Amino acid sequence: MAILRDIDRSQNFDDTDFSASFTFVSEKPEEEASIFKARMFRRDNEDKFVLVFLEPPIQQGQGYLQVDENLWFYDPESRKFTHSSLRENLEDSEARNSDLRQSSLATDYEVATADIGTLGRYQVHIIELAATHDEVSFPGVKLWVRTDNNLVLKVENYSLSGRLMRSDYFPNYVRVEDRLVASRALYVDELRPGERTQMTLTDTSLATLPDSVFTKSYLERVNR
Amino acid sequence: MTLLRIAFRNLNRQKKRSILLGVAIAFGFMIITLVNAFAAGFVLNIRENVSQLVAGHLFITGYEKSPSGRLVRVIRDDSELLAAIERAELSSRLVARRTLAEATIIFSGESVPQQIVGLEWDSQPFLRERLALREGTLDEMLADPRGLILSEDVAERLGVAVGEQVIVQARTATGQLNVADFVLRATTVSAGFLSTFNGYGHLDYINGLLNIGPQEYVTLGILLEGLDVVDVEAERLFELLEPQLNMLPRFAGQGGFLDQREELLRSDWQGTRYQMTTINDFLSGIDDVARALVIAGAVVALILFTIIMVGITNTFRMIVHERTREIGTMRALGLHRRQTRRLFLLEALFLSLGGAAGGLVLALIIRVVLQAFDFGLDTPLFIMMDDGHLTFAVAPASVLLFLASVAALTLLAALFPANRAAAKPPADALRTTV
Repeated sequence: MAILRDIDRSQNFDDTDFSASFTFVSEKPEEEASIFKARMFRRDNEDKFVLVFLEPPIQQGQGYLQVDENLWFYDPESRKFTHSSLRENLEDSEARNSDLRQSSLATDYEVATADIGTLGRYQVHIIELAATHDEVSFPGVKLWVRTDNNLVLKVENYSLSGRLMRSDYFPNYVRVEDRLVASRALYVDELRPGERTQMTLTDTSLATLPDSVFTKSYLERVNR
Repeated sequence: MTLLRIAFRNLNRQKKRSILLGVAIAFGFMIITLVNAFAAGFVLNIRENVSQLVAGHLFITGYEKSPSGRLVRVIRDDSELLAAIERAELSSRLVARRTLAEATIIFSGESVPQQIVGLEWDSQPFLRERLALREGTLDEMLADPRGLILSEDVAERLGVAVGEQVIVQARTATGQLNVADFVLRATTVSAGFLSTFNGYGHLDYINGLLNIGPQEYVTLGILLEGLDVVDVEAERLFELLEPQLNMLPRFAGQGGFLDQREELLRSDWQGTRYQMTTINDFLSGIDDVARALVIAGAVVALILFTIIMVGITNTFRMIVHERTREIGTMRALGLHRRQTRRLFLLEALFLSLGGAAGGLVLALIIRVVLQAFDFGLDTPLFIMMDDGHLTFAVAPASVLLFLASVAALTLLAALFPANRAAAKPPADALRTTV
């Protein structure tokens, strides 16, 4: 559990705001790769989150706003906010909204098995997790975590029936002040062979964000 | 009375011309009557067929709220609900439990979003009769607990054949991701735009996919005697259920449904809340299609009638010109201007009524002929037909409205020549040589 808490701590920003830009490149067999970009703002200590789509042009200005338990999706076309769920995939990719959010492994899961092994040239903890409640997307998770610094290298996500649904790989990390944040991730759909999404993180910042960012009016005016 | 007789005689004097004008009016009347009747039949059939396919006219869905605020769709104990429905003595043919999974079907790398309805097949005689299978058999489906029925076009998009195994991905009632293997046991004839609603499985197995208990389900479907009683019976049942169960207010249309969902997410409550919907709530979009059909028909009819009106105006101008001396004689014998105008308008009225009657008869004959064709259920258009037959629902009120409109338009077309005839001084008219 200490490792899970350490992973959560490294991915959460309880004492500062966090903003970053994401580029997602989604590949499907016999299709051209699709690219979309987004800018994310997080204030984890107040459970606030904003995601604004920058590309493709057709989705520019769409966004999510979460304040406490409420999550809204904003569509500039209709100029309307609708209640939403963060569980959906980000556009047509294998990445999920929840991949950009706070990590809560230590509260959502308990350790089922733990072992030491290797992944490539790294010695890793191999930890199997079982959900502690029935509202997490993946009831089963398997982690490969470096033993020397607790960086997550690989994650396997399992369905309720125990089938492997998605594998995540985190080959690169970038230092943002005193912590390491995954700067590249690869999400592989295990049910649809050949479908994968690569995520690249840039423009990271821990600077304090204005309160107005976490409001509906921000989403309304951000791309006007 | 004399004017009526003269008007009728005048029409008879130029039989060929009157018949041609009458045929033109009849054709226009027939077109608008048929299009309107087809649109009404289209709506009726789609609603009725969808009612059979989704096993109900009325639907009662249970909602719970999880501790984290998530909406959980489930009915865990339906004893009170069933007792209330029994007390309501609805004119129902069937009350059936069903669980709907908003799923994604995956086969060989291809995936298609699909609604799959989990049913207790023993209690679905109407659906079993109504399902038009393209491949596979219902017996094979019933014998396989993992059996799945999909529309042929969905199966084609996936590239899956009957007997092959597919992966079905869905969220459990509480939002977890789950996956199960199904075996395609039969395909149905394409239901066009309804195909993605047209997947069927076994209730127990779908419940397992959604992680709800074997005795639980999501929606209770009530199949009534017919579409005409849906709104009345829904109102009656709602009034009976409201004092006994925690019912959500009734709403109108898709917008109302979304507003209610927002409200459910926003508010705090405990226990199970029940939402009653009807087939009319789901298919309000079909009315738009029918309205578009009627508007298209009306535009065609308007163009037709404009042409016909120009023809009538010209014909009546010619008639007035031909009968100038006769008008002069009648005026000299004491026929007033007003009566002269009325004479021509009566002729136009007879013409329109005769034409409309002919058009109506023609429309009814075509209706009988087209309705007699059996296109079978083996066609993608079955969803808009009644057991493979086209339906033309001729509404008497619409017919009367069209009749009044045609009469008014014909009178309007004849008004200008009639006024000219009435305004002609008798002496001038008598001097005219044609």
